[in-house]
Amino acid sequence: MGSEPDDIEIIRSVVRGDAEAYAVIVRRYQDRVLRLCFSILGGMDAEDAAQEVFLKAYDSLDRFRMEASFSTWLYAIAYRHCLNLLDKRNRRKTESLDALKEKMGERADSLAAEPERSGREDAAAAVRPLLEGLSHDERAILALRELEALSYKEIARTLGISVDAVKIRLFRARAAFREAARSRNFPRPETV
Amino acid sequence: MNHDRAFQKLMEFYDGELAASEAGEVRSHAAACPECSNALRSWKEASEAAGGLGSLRAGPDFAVRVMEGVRGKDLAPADFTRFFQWKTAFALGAVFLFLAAAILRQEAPQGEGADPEVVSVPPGAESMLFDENEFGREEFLAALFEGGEETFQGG
Repeated sequence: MGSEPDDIEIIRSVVRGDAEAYAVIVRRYQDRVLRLCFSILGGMDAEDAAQEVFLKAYDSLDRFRMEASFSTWLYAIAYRHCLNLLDKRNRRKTESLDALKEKMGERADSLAAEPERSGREDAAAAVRPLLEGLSHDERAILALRELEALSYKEIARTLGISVDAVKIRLFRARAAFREAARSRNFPRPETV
Repeated sequence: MNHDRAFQKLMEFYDGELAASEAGEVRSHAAACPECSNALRSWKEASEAAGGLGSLRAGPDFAVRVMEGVRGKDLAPADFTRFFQWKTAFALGAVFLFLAAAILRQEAPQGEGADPEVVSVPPGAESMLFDENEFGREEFLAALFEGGEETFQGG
């Protein structure tokens, strides 16, 4: 019984031309990347975004330094991709809301304020509103620490910030998240 | 360890980022400090709430769909880069040939599609050979065909 090949072995195979080996990487990281995308994007289109992250990473594999941590590199791609998506989404929202306001006047505001519906009915969807008060950085830091158990150093490398900045933002994120959970009487896992 | 120092290190303690000796000091302080205990409890609550995201799983066809996208690219990343470079060189070559053809066409319009009325002789070239008003032409021809240096000189 041989053990599973590590990330670097697989990536070397892919770069040498064995594209099918990339499926092992995708299966290994799909849930983690999806959770990060979900946390940053607030659920919207998280699965599509996660798939795009893997395709982007595939395109950039020849630029990956083999001595680095693949997971950190992948999370960094996911983080930047989600920020780009949010940026595009905000621009589209502003443009379409402006157009709608021109057409419909004040009623457009109330329509725009309606919550977006998600088809996913699980505990993750219930957590989504708790993330709303957090900045995108704070969401990413919270997810990378609480779900992926990355160290402060790894989070700092992933987001391109200092370790001190990670500590400050994680402190704020936890406080805001805990407050949101309390104010919504969010059920704690052991009481569910 | 005093409270300020312990509180400053509390989150690192919670996240397992402290060395064992320092972690021991913070633990001893927090056990007897209501403020530090409360902070630890609130972070635990936040961790438990965030744990709800841990239930999130990719759909069963997630990897299949990604791999369809990968196969759509058809080439491994390194090969893809080489392919891209080759394509770029090809495109640049095509643009260069197109421009060169356009320039040549402009410089030599006698070819197909050129205006038949246009004669590509530099202006004044004819008169350089035979100018009706130019002195000596008639005399030169007479001397040539009738002979005799005297006749020519007489002009």
